[in-house]
Amino acid sequence: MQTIGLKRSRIGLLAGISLLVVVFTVALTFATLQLPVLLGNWLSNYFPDIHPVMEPERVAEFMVVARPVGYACLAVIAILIVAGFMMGKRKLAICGSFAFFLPTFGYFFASMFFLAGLGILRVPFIPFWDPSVNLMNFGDISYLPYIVLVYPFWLGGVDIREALAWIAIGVGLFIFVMGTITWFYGKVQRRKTVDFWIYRYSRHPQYLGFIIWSYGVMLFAAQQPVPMGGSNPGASLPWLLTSLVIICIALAEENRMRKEGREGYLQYTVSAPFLFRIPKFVSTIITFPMRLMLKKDRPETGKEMVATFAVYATILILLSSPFVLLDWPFGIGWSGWPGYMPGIFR
Amino acid sequence: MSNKRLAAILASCVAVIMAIVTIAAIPPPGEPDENTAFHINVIPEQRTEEQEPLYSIAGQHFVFLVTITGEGEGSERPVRISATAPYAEVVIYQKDICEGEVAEVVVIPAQSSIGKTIEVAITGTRDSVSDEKLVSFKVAEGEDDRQEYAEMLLDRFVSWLATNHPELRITEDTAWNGTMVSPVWLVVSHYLFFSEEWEAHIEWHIMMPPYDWTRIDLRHRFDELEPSYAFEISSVNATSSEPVPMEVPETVWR
Repeated sequence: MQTIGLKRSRIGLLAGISLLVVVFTVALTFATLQLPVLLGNWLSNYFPDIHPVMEPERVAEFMVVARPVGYACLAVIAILIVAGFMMGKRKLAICGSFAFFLPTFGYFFASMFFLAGLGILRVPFIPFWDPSVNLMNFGDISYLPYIVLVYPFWLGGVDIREALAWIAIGVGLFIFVMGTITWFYGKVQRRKTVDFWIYRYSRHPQYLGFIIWSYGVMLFAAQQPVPMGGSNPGASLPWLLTSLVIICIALAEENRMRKEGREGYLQYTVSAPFLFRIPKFVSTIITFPMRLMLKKDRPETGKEMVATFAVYATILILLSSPFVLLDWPFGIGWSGWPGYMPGIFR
Repeated sequence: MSNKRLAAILASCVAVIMAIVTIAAIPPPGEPDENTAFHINVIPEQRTEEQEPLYSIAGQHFVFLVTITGEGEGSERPVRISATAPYAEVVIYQKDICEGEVAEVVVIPAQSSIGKTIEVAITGTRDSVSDEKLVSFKVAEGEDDRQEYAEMLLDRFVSWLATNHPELRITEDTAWNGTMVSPVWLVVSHYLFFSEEWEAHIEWHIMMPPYDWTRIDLRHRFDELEPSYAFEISSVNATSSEPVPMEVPETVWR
């Protein structure tokens, strides 16, 4: 009788938590897409739109102030991230990486002047928008999964571009919320190592959720048309670097827990993958540069972490360079790729 | 890891990144004259006060064709086309053009533009040299009520073209995207369709048989400024009316 009661209460708990996860996921997905609109309208009062052709003097005047602010913001973000790693202050690095990704929401606000309304968030991106070369595209290797998923459907006459961004945002938030609730539940149960529910499939579900959610946001940003008839530079480089920082933070956390010798943690790392399960040969290829540089499987000190970040960032930038050098995709960039679809004008 | 080794790794990474960025920033070789002057030409041109203005409706795709004409010794470097249009969305196809190529500036008026005149500023830029043309059109109240009929007519032409003119590479699987044009013309209606390769202008006479003719003219996108083929069905409702070639119009319809 007591066993049946325990079973029922456990099913009730799981049902309650599942419902909570779904509600939070739907609410946060909605907030991801609606809050920028509300915030953008409010910010328009302070940063109104300027027509660059009709009022070029006003634009120039604004940029005189915005340019140094942009460089200063980017410098502060870089200092936060590097200092976070070097000093082992995880929260500093998280703040820095989130601040680096935040301007991506500026793409959601359509305006003639790129810094109007919510676009003002993009001030830290100014250093990347050099007129001779668009540095933003040096993260375009990130679109590889997008290309692989979208193109076959497009050939079949089905447009999944926007749907894919939605799904990425929803799935990312689902994993994030599930991870957070599991972690809290583990803490309530006073477990030394949270290794159940979603933590059985990923050692860092919250970071994984953030990476997938931000990928969806990045795709949405890249899909926005540009009113001036220019091409949308996208935000692939910030996403790429932010994700790398997040992965380094996760590695640093693991190092701390390994050093602390938490009960059952080492055994847990053997059974659960770092972010998600990938074939052994893929993981061998991915970790090869690190093993070559450090002669071990993972960075353990702040310096090693910075070096690992720099090497992987360089490799990914190198892999993105064909997109930049070939100026691909042609025309209006990622907001137009892969091109015409039946029933869709662009 | 020693500070020296870390510094060496960071310096190598910075050097590699700087090298890639520099390569990307260097203009392609073989372009001796960067600042050669040029003019941009826009079709349709700006209407004079004596001429009837151009009209569109909100949501319509108003397509301007843009070309460049060089002066003196022509530079082979392409000219980048950009455009602005208040109260409208602008999309540009074939943004970088050289002489002989055609860019398409698509202006899509917003609902808020009804009753207004959309001023489109089209700019061509090559390094420090630029040229600008201003064109405008009015936005009338109305909605696209012609699409279904226009698509039926297009299908009739396409199935015939697929069989009789395979060299055009137009098949029944060719994807077309349509937009209404000339909303204020009543007796003869017009519609534009775009495939990846062709712009098709369909017009039809709203009349009883046997005067219910329909015509199509085709412009090859991105390298032609005027249509190169035209066909006519003398009566849409006649039982055995097939398309026949006709005199090709001298200009595109807008």
